[in-house]
Amino acid sequence: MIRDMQFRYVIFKNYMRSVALIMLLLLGTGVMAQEFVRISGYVTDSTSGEPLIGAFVVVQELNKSTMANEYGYFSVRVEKGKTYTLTASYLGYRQKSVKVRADKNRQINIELAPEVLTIKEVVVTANKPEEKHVKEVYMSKIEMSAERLKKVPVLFGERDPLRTLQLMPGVQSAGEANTGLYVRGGGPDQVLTLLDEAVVYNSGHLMGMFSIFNPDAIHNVTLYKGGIPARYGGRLAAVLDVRMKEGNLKRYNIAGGIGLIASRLTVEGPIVKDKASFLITGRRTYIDWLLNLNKQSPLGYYFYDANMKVNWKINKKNRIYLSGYFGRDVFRFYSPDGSFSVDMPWGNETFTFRWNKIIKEKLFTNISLIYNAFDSRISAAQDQLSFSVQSTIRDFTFKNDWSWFPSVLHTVRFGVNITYHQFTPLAASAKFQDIELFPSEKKRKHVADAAVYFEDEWTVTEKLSINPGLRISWFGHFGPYTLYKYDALRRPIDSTFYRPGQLIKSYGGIEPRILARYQLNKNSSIKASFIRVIQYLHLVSSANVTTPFDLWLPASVNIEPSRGYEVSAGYFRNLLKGNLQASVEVYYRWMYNLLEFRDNYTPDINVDVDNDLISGRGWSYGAEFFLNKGVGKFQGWIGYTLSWTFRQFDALNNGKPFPARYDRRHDLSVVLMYSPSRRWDFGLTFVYGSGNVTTVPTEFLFIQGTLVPVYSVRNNFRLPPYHRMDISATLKGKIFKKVDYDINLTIYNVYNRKNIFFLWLKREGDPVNGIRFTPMKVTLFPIIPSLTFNFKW
Amino acid sequence: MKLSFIKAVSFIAIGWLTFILWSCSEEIDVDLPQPERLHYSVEGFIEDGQPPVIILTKTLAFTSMINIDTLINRFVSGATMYITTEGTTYQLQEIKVKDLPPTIQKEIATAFGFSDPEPIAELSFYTTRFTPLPELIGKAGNTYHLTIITPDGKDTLTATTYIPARKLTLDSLWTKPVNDTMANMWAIYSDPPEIGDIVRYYTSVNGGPFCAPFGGAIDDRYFNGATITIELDRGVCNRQDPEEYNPETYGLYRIGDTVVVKWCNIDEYQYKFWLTFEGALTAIDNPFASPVRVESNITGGYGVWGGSNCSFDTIVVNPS
Repeated sequence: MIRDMQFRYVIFKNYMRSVALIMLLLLGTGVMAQEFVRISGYVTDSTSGEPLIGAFVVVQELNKSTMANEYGYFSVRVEKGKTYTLTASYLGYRQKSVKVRADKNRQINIELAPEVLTIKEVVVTANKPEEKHVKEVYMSKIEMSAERLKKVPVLFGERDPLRTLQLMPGVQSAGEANTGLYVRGGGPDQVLTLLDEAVVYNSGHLMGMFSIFNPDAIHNVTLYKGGIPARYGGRLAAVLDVRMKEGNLKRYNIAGGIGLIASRLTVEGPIVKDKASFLITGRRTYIDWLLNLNKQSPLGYYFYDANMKVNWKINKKNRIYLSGYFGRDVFRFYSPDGSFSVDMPWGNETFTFRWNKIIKEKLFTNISLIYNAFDSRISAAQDQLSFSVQSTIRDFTFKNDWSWFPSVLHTVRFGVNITYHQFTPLAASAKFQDIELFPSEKKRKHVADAAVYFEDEWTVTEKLSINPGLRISWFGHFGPYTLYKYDALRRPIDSTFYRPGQLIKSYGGIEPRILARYQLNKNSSIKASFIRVIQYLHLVSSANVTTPFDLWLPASVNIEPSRGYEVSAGYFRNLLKGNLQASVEVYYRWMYNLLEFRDNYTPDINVDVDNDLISGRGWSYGAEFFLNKGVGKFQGWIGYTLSWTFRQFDALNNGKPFPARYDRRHDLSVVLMYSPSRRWDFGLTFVYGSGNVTTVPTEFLFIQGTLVPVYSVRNNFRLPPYHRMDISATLKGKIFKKVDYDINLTIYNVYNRKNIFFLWLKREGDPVNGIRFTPMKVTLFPIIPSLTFNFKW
Repeated sequence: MKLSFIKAVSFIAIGWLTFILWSCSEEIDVDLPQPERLHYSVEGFIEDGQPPVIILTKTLAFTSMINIDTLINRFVSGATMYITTEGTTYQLQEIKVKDLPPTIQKEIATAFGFSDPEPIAELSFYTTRFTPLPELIGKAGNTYHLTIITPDGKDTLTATTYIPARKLTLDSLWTKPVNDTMANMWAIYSDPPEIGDIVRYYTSVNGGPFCAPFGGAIDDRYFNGATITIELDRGVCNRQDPEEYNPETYGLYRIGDTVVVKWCNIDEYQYKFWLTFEGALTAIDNPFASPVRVESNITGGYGVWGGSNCSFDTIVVNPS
């Protein structure tokens, strides 16, 4: 055992050494060492020590810039002997400049103060944070700080990063009060959702009404809605990269909130000041307790989630993190006489271990070991009969990412990612008394995917920056597995058994990515990108909204991976001395091997669900307009999207193209935030969107003396437009001298618009007296006032 | 004092939650899309030992009010129909309800929800019985190709079915009272060893028409080769009739009823049709149901052309 561990350690050490050696050879350090030195370090929050991911660092004397990586680390190469001014900026923080004498390799930490604090010693220079808007090579990228989330009015006053992202151009919600993200015509499974690098398969609580991201545990949210860099892969449409807070390295904090639906509590602080810290957060709803206060209610629902994180700076070059998430939704129904019961739990769990290592000032690496899981179950019992259907996913990931800063002109990233997935869809069991009924074989699938990537953020000239990248991915489906053949009525007629480890089917591909930015002048630039992406895992849903009981399925003998291409271009401009940022982006996206259930699919526990899927293609195009003000007392943004999204499946709609259910012609969001003083924040949001499309019958069959609707054309009817306005007011203050508090009043749907959730046809009467069909609309939320109390000590 | 405060708070909280989570359903004034053209629909069956019976109707565009005249106008008169089997082609003839024997007229009227056949006297169907043409009688194991040419000659509908062997029959049948007036019915049957046997059953109570219950079509994928005990629900012909279709007494028989169970081996086309037909009916009036497309084996139209092989068992529902 010990020998085995030693052997593995040797292999691991050799792997690290080899990569580092190759990089050092490439660097040519021997040649340059006499003339150049390194200024490297972290950009962090001055109050908590949290790294500021993607902070923009400008070397004033060279007029060159670089960005801190996912861990807040940056590195620039400068001429030895000179003095340089490094200016770091980050949205929501005061920018700061520091002078550094480049007499030797130097590691510095630049601490930025949140905007809400007045830091007199900050050196204000001509560079504003908004410079990043036109200067960085990335486009179609949205960053959201936890601070900004607080000011946007939301349903029940429960701050939610996903709900706020839905107010951005190009991003849509699945429907009223749903946190699912639909990005540029892609479905919710086409968004790679990462929490501290761990994949989250279902990001919603309460059927998507709340996201699983507790705002108190979230440090930073980045959404790539297009132009996805090569370091990300596995989804066609977008990447949502959510990073948890590290835990305050400087002082203990207890923060929390009491709302009408849920309450939250967070404890964080240093374990060893400036060396190690922890963070623990918890959140739970109390709808079930309220229902049970007076008498035992047969119905119960609650969700809870918990985040924890520990990090330890071992020394200047090594830091480790351990973070985890555990969340659960539970729906229960117990009939009062005990004759019938239903249990429906579902939830995610993730654990991430990361080790940051600075090999040299210019070479940074991170190793991650990740476990994540998602499961959902429906169990019901009536008298002596019980049944249960469960679906689970388990992932084990090894990930190694490198950042190499060879010069101020290049930031090179490369890495490897290997994941083993275990999918168990629709594992069913039933019992009558003590007898097992219809025991179905667990159709577990063992699959693995692997990818290597390389990308270089390269400042080619003063005006031109590019980020060429390449990702090579591979996917394999392995035994043990029994592959069945079925007849027309889905009855097994033949089978082939694959032994454990035997490769059944593999897919792979090259995913080139290129992003480019050309700076027209100090205040404007144009950007463009082209990407090819492959998606090996798919979510298939038979409902109109995402539910936890939708199935995630890997590619297989019957399912080919989805492939997508996207081209986009944009014009980016700073207005009013950088106080306003404006952009216009256009995109066109092609998607192949998209999956849907065949018509009239009903779950059948005895049939591998692969056999009930059909594949088709999709395409979407549109233009996004964005105007943002991120500084000052008065902040906010206006986003408008004009878009088209279509699908075409040979086996659906007679093979004719049809609008996808998230095809929305117009989508407008206006977000205004006003902070007249330190005590008050006011917020207003207004959203307007073309109605979703839905399928309605166009004719009726008259069979067996009754009328039966015919759904001959898919998504043939567009619902009335959706619009709504929400407002909020937040009063902030201090109690007991040390406790900051805020009281938030939010009014959702101020003018009580009865937005349509879905449409159905009500039938009344009989053939003798006449049959009447009436279109009916179901609306969800009227005007909803809510009050939330938050505190931080 | 504390308790009453908690109660008051909880009442407010529950009231508030009910208020916000209460889904509101109300009428909406929208113009729903109209079809580019209407289609033909076939309801055709052939049983072992029986002539074929085919009803041809035209679909109906969405309109807010549909009355009996609109429905009767859906029946298509003047079509030309042929069935080919074992190398012989038989022509079918159109028969109007009013030309049938009075007992059959009454059965059809009941199925439509009328006590008197008068309103449906002009309805027509197609068959080889009651006509001077050579009569086609269904035979187990034979395949039947149906061709329909619509009255205007513009559409030709075709379909193929077969009559399966009578492999499934009821081994025993009994009733069990659930209270003083009502009882349910149970049966045992043995499924043959090979997979692919499908049945649909109908019940006729006190000499009334044969009607099928929801879920009356059963295949053997979950219990192939086993001996099965099942509950046989009372069939419903008119789902709009509150007397016939009462959720409280659905599936039950009155004590003293004489019940004939028609137990039919059917082909897979029929099975898919009935399954989706019932799914579509369930989806009506259910705002949460997904649209169901009724599957069809008719090329050029909708509906079903199905073959059956039926056995009949009679039982009197007794109180013990």
